[in-house]
Amino acid sequence: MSDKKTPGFARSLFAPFFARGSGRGFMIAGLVIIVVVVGMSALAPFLGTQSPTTPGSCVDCPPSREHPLGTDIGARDMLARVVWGGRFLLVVGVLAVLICMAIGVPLGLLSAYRGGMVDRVVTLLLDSIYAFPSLIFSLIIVLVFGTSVFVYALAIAVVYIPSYFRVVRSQTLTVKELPYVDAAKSVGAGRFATIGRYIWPNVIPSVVVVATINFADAILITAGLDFIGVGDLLKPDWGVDLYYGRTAVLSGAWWIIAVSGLMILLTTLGFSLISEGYAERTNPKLR
Amino acid sequence: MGLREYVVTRLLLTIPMVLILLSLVFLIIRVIPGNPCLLKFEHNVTPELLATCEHSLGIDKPLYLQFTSYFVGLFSGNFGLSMVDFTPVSTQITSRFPATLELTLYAFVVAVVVGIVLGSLGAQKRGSKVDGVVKVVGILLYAWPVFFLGLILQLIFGVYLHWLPTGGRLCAGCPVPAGLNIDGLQIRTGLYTIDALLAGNLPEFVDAASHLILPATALGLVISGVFIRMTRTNMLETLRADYVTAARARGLKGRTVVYGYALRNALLPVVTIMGLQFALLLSGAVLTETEFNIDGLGRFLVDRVAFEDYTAIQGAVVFIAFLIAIVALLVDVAYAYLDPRVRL
Repeated sequence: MSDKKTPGFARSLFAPFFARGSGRGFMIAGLVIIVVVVGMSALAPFLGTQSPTTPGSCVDCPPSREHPLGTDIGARDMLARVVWGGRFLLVVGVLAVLICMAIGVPLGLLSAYRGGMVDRVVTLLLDSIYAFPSLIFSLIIVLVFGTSVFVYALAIAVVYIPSYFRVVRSQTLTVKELPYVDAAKSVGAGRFATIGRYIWPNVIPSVVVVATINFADAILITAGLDFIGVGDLLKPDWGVDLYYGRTAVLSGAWWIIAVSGLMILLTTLGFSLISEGYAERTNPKLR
Repeated sequence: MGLREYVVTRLLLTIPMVLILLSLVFLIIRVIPGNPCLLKFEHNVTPELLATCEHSLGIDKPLYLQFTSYFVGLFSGNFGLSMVDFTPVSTQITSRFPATLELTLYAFVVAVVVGIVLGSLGAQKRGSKVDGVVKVVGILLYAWPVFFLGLILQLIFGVYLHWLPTGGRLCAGCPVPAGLNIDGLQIRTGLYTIDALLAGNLPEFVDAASHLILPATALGLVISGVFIRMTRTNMLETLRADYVTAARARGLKGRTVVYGYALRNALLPVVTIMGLQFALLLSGAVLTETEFNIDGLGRFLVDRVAFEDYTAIQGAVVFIAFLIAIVALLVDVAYAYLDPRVRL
């Protein structure tokens, strides 16, 4: 069995979650939150809720026996909307992180490894996007290209690829000068072997930190766009709930925003906790 | 490299970055499906009227000509005409920007104060319960959606307690603060709290300030998460530094060592993230202004999105791009001035 070892990168990716030491509490708390939120959203069709989109008979009603979390201004059951409302956000988050990883990480590795003119041009290009307000950039892309899940994911990915690129690039620049990398090259390791086997594993921890923060930010941006009314307002969505609840709140209808808002917070908190715990684990300076 | 050379290099680097961003904005926004003139007249339009409309917006020319006239226009301060009301976009932006500036300034003050106080508290009591609380508060604030925090504040302090107004910049029907009057010449900043002070009108100042408390607190608290974290991390490092130990060994008071030595040096790297924080503030301002009915640049953008007014959207985005570039430049130069190592 000894030849069936976990690949190196998988081991260094997941080991920090289970080993004792600082940051573990944060990571476990975050993981529990994410499992609950994702579980609820994935199982929504089987939880026997009322319809999150069909109006009932009670408009803007406070919590009651029939509607435990009340109804919104469209007379829809808030409990159902809370249960269904995370699906869009979470899918956007997953897609955005995947796109960012697929483009930002290899770009950072290769750019830093090659150096020279290519590196400078790519860095300049991505730096010009990096500083721009993410929500505003995503807003324009969604406005022009539509409100599908893929457009959202792409809009967020465009703004976050530079973050991955920067982190991976700077980490690679440090690692590639280390003696063991020289040693690997001197015994005949090719360019891709050097990058893949010797540099990449050392870059993983910082990518995990960026990816989890990216996930939290993706949720915040998507919900934010829904909140200002840019997205598809017909879908059940926590951000859309806050959009509808925005005016109702001024007459005291707290139930439309309270639980949906809390769910957004919980989701971003979960990812932020994992990020913080992971950073603390891999970077002794934070302890 | 001397300070002057550094500034020049940094300035030269800013130009291509801005150009890249502006081209990107142009490309994205001109890919729009449909003709804004058709949208405006809702498809029942004579060809002559359509041609006049297209000509006035400059979209009848080939794309590369549009691109060059767009750039020439930008650098002479001409952002084109709004596709909705055909007024110059630049005047609309300049009339909206002060509200955003005021909101972000106050929010920034909230963020820095909360960040430095909590961050240095955590670092001093490293590993204790207080430190744990500071860490959790930092993460919680970072994760908190600014619009949700705003709604909660509106609900508590506006709807239930009636302490503070929930929207707008001034009380309903109140005149705009007069600003400074020098021999009949009115000088207005557009920042209502400052204008009220310049006019010496205290009730107006209180009114303008009371309208700012909730939105600035919501935005500031959310941004402070990053400051708490940065201050704490940097101060953990400076507290371990040799010069801090040396200062302690010389018998300096604990407070002097912590605030005069450790905190001062810990704040230096915090300056570097201020450019990025400004971007975060602007993103947050879009949400906060929409929520609190503040007539700023962010709400302008959202309003124009609803009308599909692409010239106005493009103008606002370009303005923001310039703003970000200038702030980033200033931050870098300030940092190079404060820390000579950067110039190496």
